[in-house]
Order: sequence, then structure tokens, then C-alpha cells
Amino acid sequence: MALMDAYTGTLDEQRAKHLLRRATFAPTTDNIKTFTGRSATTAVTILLAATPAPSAPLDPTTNEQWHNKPYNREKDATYNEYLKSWWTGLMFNDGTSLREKMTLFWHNLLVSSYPAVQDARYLYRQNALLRRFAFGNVRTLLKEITIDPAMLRYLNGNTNTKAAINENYGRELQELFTIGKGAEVSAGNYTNYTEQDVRAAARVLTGWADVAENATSRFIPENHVTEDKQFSAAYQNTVIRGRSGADGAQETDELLDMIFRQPETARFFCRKLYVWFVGTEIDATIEREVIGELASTLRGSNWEIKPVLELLFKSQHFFDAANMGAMVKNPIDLVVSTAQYFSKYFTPAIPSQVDDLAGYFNAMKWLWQSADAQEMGILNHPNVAGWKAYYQTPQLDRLWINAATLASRNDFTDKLFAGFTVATKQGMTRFAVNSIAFTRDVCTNPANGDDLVDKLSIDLTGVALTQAQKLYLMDEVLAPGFFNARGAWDMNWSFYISDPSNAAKRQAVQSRIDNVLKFVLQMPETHLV
Amino acid sequence: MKRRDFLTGLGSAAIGLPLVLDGFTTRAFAESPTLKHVAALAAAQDRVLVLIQLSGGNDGINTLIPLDQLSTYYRIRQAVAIPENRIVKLNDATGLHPRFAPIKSLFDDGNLAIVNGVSYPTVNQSHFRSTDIWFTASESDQYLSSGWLGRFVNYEAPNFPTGYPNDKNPDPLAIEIGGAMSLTLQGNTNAMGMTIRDLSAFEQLVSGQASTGGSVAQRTGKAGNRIDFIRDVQAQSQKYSTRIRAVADKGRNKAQYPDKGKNPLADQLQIVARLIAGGLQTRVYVVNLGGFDTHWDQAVPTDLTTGIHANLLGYLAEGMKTFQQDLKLLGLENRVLGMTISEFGRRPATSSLGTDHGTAGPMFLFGAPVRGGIIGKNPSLTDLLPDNNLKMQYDFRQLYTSVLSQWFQADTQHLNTVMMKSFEQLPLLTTTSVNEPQNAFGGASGMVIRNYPNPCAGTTNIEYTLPQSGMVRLTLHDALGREIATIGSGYQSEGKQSVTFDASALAQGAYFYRLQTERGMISGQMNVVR
Repeated sequence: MALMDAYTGTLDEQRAKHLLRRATFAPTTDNIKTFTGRSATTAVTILLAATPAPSAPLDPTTNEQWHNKPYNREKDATYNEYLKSWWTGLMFNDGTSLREKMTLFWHNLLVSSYPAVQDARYLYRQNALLRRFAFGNVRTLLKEITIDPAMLRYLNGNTNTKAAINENYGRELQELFTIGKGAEVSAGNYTNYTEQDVRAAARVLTGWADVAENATSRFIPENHVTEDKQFSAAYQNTVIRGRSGADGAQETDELLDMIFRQPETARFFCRKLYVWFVGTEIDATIEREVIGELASTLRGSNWEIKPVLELLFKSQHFFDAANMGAMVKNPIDLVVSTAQYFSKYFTPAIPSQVDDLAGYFNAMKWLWQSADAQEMGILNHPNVAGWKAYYQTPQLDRLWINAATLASRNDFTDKLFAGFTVATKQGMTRFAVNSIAFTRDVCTNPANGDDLVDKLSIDLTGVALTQAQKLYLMDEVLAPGFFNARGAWDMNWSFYISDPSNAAKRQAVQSRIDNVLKFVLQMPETHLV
Repeated sequence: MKRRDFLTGLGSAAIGLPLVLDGFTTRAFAESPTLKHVAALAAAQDRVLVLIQLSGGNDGINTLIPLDQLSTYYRIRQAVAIPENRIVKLNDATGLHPRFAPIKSLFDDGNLAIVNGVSYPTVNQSHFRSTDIWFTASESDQYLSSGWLGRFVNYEAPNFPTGYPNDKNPDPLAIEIGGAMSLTLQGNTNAMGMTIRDLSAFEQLVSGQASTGGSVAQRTGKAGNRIDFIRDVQAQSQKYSTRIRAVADKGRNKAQYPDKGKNPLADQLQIVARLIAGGLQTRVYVVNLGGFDTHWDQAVPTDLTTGIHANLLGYLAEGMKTFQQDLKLLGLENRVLGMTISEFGRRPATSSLGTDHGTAGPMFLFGAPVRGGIIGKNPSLTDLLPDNNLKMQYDFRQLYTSVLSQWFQADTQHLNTVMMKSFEQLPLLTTTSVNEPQNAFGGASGMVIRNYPNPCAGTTNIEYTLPQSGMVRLTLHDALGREIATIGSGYQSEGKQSVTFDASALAQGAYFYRLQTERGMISGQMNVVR
């Protein structure tokens, strides 16, 4: 039985949760019910369904788009915030689609950051490009990103001219974006490419520049090196023939085609997908059976990524119990998915984009700022290699957790119940989860404390809790300090039910339910996905 | 026997007090190397290293400008060259970027050591790989998954985190200010440090967090491994948090730092000073200043003394200087050593408006304990490697080894564990090492080695005293620690020995000789002048 054979049964609850947690931002109780009992094929069809492109972000103070207007020095930093809130909103509302997790995947692979690019219009364009290729053709995406204006700025492609070669993009294109670095077999020879190839690629790429006026890019033939470019044996000693005039731009396509002719390039992307969606550690078996199979699918599809995603998410390996809960949840996933899980229960409701765009953006801003505090800022990577948790061995995804970030993660989940305040059109507004309403939906008999703690926690933890842990939740968290904890809880719940408008009686049960939810959200099991 | 165990019950009070050791008072041991050893080790327990990582690859040539090669400098560095009338002279050969000039007073006070041309053989020009090499202290083609400071701390705390904190180690073994923990502090299996971002936020967030262990479920596999890991971090941060909160409350800065947010490095160093002042016993701190990858916009064309690199050098100089002032005002200056690292230097010839990835660069050590001055010469802008990059003068691992040995008094076994091979030390500090005594310092072995005359041009006599007869081997090494000659080997009798060595064929520079005996190894430095 090969690891990549299709899982042919129907999805049980565990598998439905696993798929939703890894592929979407909405592993909600409703969606888990919807996916349970379906075939993997049906579920993956839902994940990969085409969705209409979202309209560009508005400036809530004017209700106008800004990405198609001239650069606005005074407002650009604010536009960048709108862009982040807009994108966070797309993630928050992405439902059972894989689109935004793929967009975030591309963002972490093909990095550009606002502090370096300094123009929100550029970053909007790049973000829209990544989204357009969420399930698209990898080679075409790499051709586009190579001349994307934000990328030209971020990696200095716009300053790479025949008078002054700038190797930055030529290097990172190979090291981080496509073929990756192999073992350094001799000085400057990284197996898959060499320092000579870095220089040759930089020469091929001379002449591109961004156009600030309309946030686009163009090719300037006078800045292009027109001599032939000789690549090393790593690229079969390929020579890219130098061209003059506007034809010089074609060399960029030839460069990408040359890189994409190398078998290692397909494996590189498939490893990145694996690390993003399945697990951060790749052993020899996975390399051979999983990466190899995915890579041959990618090449067989002429670089379309959709068949690769289908193969991956339908595979027995993906649904292997050993892979469930096997990664630390990244901060974006933590904030967006957890907020989405409780989204029906916020009191008051999160403002809608139509009624109060500014309030909606502010609520989304609270989410991305919370992820920033946990060391995962969108459009604000620490460097071009992306977030460390996806490449820095040996800690890998464990890097998301340290004393500082753990405190920030807990602070975020606590505030869902203790309340967080953002500006809306009603003024400063405090939002909190109505945990009693939530309890009523997920638990038919809340008076039974054991059943209650089970239902409160069952969809939240990446790994199921043990019976002993549930007993602890009941005895020490829901009703601590009582000789007969179950009786005490049952009694308090019935006091509340018999007099639901009594604030004190409501408070007595709600604060205890909040405690359980806050506690569960801090448990190590809940930090896993 | 582990050093920490050895020192139990001795503590830092060993210095200057009539301590009783095995029934003998200190006076009876006045000249004993054993006591010196013990005292040096005890002092080392109080010593702090602050590592400043300059991420992105600092342009050394615009940090320290080679005044002896200005015509070449202006020819190949048009995009970034500092106008001659704006260069601040450090000494006759070396100028400073004007924004880096505040460090001159540190230098003049003897509180700054500069080592030129620091790198490693076969530089990898990937940021990430080269950063890993610096963090792990590996060879260019060697992949290590632990950091050099992580291994250093791990050696003394092999069971960490089991049983930590404890009475002997109430505080984090290492602290990184900032976001994610870097590889520097990764131990053999565990991250050895704790990450603190901001003291007020830390106090606020850590306080009152419930333990989430409940009843501990034993789980296996990848998920189980992560659950154990998170549980450990939770436990650690709760145990340390009370203590750090108390220390931070007690500690006060005395120097005037820039306003918060104005200098990202000074902000971090301010926290470090406050924690040391408050009594935190942590010995290793790591801070970070990023943005040195100046491919573009390194300098503003209309005024080349401004721009990204100028701002960064300004942060660095102001940060180092303010931190040093603070330590002095706090009376802590003798306990704290600072060191900068950067994954590589930048290429001598500029590209468009910046510089591409290079090789060697200067390293800075600062603080009262350093032996102020400049080691190595200005990098040559014309005598370059085949890829037009600067040649190496010293291996960064020599500096690491020197700091571990001379500052933290790591013994040979400890050094071998951390650095994995032997590197010749540089005389960076006024403190001396236990295991490889400098001239005229009697170490644990009781042996002394020196050469006379030193510096020398022709012949010089290498003298040493053997405590017992036996096989010896005397070798000569270049500044990088590579053995270049065997001066002599064979059986020698107990007592004073002298070997004449002819240095007239050697190029000018620093060399080391090393005597291997059955009782251990000692070495000395020989300076050849022409």
C-alpha cells in the first residue's frame, strides 16, 4: 500500500476535522458536520472550487478604491493597514475554500514586505496575483512574480542594470523561490546551481524596472546585458542567447524555463507544500514516496498545481493518524480560525463590510495585530526566507512557541471571552463571545458537567483529550473547590435555566464556562493542528 | 566533576575574602595556581556576554574606512564612498563612517577591540546558510543543528530543562531579546534560552496564566513530542516569570537611552542592562539589529553620509555607547562583555546604489574587560579573492574560542565540546584563560611559556618549565590556528627548557606556538615584525 494511494472511505469526524483544519480557516462545528460522511473526493472538490476574485480594498473614509490611484505618501501606511485588514477578512470569510491558505502559502514562499516595498498599491497587486494563482500554474506564477513590481522593489530587481549588476533576485530566485540549494559540493557550487549561475541569472534579469505611476513594471532595453549568458553544468551548460531591444525580456522566460526543466525544481515546490500542509519534518520515506509522487504529478500536469493538491489531500498519507495534530498551529491560523469558530457568537456581532466597513476593518486589524504579536505578521516577514517555523531546523514549527509568543497566544484567546475593544461606528465597542449561546448550540444537556466539558473542547483541540484531562476540566476548572462538583454545576445551571434573565445567575454559569474555554484554548493540545 | 558542582558553596564571594578551602586559608595558597583557577572560575560565573547580531551582512569597508587605500576606495566604491572631509579619523590608518564616530570615545578609553578581516574559509553567500554557520560555528560544508552558545550553556546544564530553575540556577540560562529564538541558543536537544520581547508586555502577559497541564497525558509521535515541548515552555516561563518580574522591578537604568522606538538596538540593550542591574544571573544575552543587506539605497546619492547604512551604524554606535555608559554608572562594567557578529561583509566594489554579499568583515568587542585596540590590518581592496571579495585574516571561531576561554574560563574539554576543534586564541581581553594561559600566566598545569625577544625579527628563544620529564611537542601556528611547522619534539627532562627558533623566514604578523605535554597544552603568541 503506497502512501499516496487515495483514501477511499468516507470521512469520519476525525478526518473531516483534520482536513478542515489543515486546508481552511473554518473548522467550525457546522463545517465538520457537513464534511463528515462525505468522500475525500467530494470534500476536495469543495476545497478547490473556483471562487470569484474579490474586489479591491476600499478606503473606508471615502468608500473608494486606492490601488488604481497615484501613490499617496500621507495615506500609504494606512492603505497598507487596510490591505492587511482586507486580506485578513478574506481569510476570515473563506469558508470551506482552500484559496486563502494557498494565497498565504505563496506569500510565505514568494515574500515581499511593506517596510521594504513602501507602496501598498504594489503589495495589493502582488497579493491579487498570488490569489489568482492559488490553484494555478506554478511556472507561470514564477514568471509573473519575477517581474512583479513589488518583488522588483523587494529584491532590488529594479536596480539590476548592465551598468551595475545586482545579484539579489538572481540569487534568491534560485535559492529560495524555485530550485533550492543543495549540498555545497565545492566552493560556490550548491549542487543545484552555482555562484556562476547566480551571476548569469542576474545578467539575464537586467533591465526590469517598476513604474511607480501605475504600480506596474516594464523592461528597459538600454539597461539590459545583451551578451550571451553561460550557465554551469548544474543547468547542463545552458547558454541563454543575449538579445537586444525589447526581445531582451524574452530571456527572463528562458531563464525560468531552464530552471523549470530541472527535476529538482518540482521536488522543491512539493516539499514546500508538504511542509505547509502536512508536516514540517520530511524523512527519507516521505521524500521518496510522497515528494517523488507529488513532483511527478506536478511535472506531468505541466506545472498545474491543482492536480498536486488533489492528490495530496485525498491521500492515505494525509489522513494518517500520525499526521493529525502533528504541527504547532501558526499564529494566523490560530487567530483567524479560532475567531471564525466562535464568529456566530460574538456579542455584539462583528460589523459587516456593508454597514460599517471601518468597524469591520478594525475588527480584522485586531486579528492581524494579534498574529503580529505572536511573530507572524502578514506583509511583514522577518526576511526573504519567510517564517522560520517552515525551514529552521531542528525546532521548525515548535519555533512558534516560546515564553513570549505563548503569552501572546494565550492573551489573544483569553480576550475572546474577556472582551476586546475596537472602534466601530457606534464608538469604542467591546466584543466578547457569548459562551452560553455557544454552549446551547454544541451541547444538548449542559447540566451534565462531564458532557459539557467534552462538547466545549471536542472541536478545539488538535489532539483529542484523554478521559483524565476531561475529568480535570470538570473537577478543577468548571467547578473547582466543590466536594460534589457535578452536583454543584447541575444546581447552578438549573438556577440559571429557571431564571435566565437574572444577571447574577447567568454570570455564575457563564464565568465558569468561559474558564473552561479559556483553559482549553491554552492547553498544549489546542496549539496543535 | 562539573564546574558548577565544583563551585557549589563557594559562590562569587570567593574573590578577596578569607575563604577557607579544604582547611587552608587563602594565604596559604597565595601563589597556588589552583586557587587562581578557582577564583577565576568563580569570577567567570558572574560574567555576562551580550551578543549583538547585525543581520544582513554589514559593510565593513564603510564602517571602518581604510585610510591607507583611499584612492582605490573612491575608485571602486563610488556609490557609497564617504567624502574624505567627512571621515572621522580613528587612527592614522583607519577612519570611521561619521555616523559610527561615537564609538571613538570607547576606543580611546580602551573599551573597544576591533578585529579586522573576520570570516571563515569558503564563505557561503546565502544569508541563511551563512547565518547558520555563524550561529552554529560550523565549517562551511558542515551542517549542525545546535548553536555555539546553546552548546556552551548545555555543557554546564546537561539535563536542562529537567530540574530547572533550581537553587543554583534560578534564572534563565540565556535570554534572547526579540521574537523567535535563533539557532545560536539551540542546545543539543532543547532551546537553552528564553525569549523576552518587551518587559512591560512580558510582565503583563505572563502573570496569572494558568498552568494547562491538568493531568499529564503521555502521548507519542509527532503530536506527543509537541505537547511535551509546549508543556515545557509553559512550565519554564511560569517558573522564570516571577523572578524576572522581580528583577525587572528592582533593576534601574542610569544612563539616558534614546526614546523608545528611536533606536531598536538601544531599546534591547536597555532591557539587558536593566535585567543585569536587577540581579538576574543569566550569563548570555542575544540581541539583534537587522537591515544590513544594503544591496540598494545603502547611501543617499545626494549625501553619501546618510541612508540606510548610516542609520544602522548610528543605532549601533549609540546603542553600544549608551549601554557602556549605563554599565559604568551601574558599577557593572567589569562584568559585561559585548560582541558583534554579522553573517558576512560586503563586496569591495559597489553595485548601483549599494553593495552585494561579500566575505570578511570587522568584529567589535566592547566593554571594560577588552584589551582595546585593533587586531589585524585594514583589509586590502586590491589583493582580493578570485571572486573579488576580501581575504580572511581571522576565523570567527577564533574569537568565539577566545571569548569562551578568556571570558567564561571554559576549560579544554568544554571548549572542545562547544567548538569541536581547536582554534588559536587572540588576545582580546584583559582577563586570561584557564586552559591556555597567555604569556606569564600560570594556569592549572602550573606551566608558563614565553618567547624572548618578542616581537622578534630574527631568532627568538622560546622558554618554558616542565613540571615533569616526558614527551613534548612544540609547534608553530599561523593566526588562523593552522600548524605551519614543528619546532621540536621528543623527550625532555623536568625543569627549565629553552628552544631557539629562527623567525626570519616568516612574514610579518601574529603567530602562535603550542607546547603539548603529558600534563596538558600551553601556548603563547609571537609577533614577527619586519
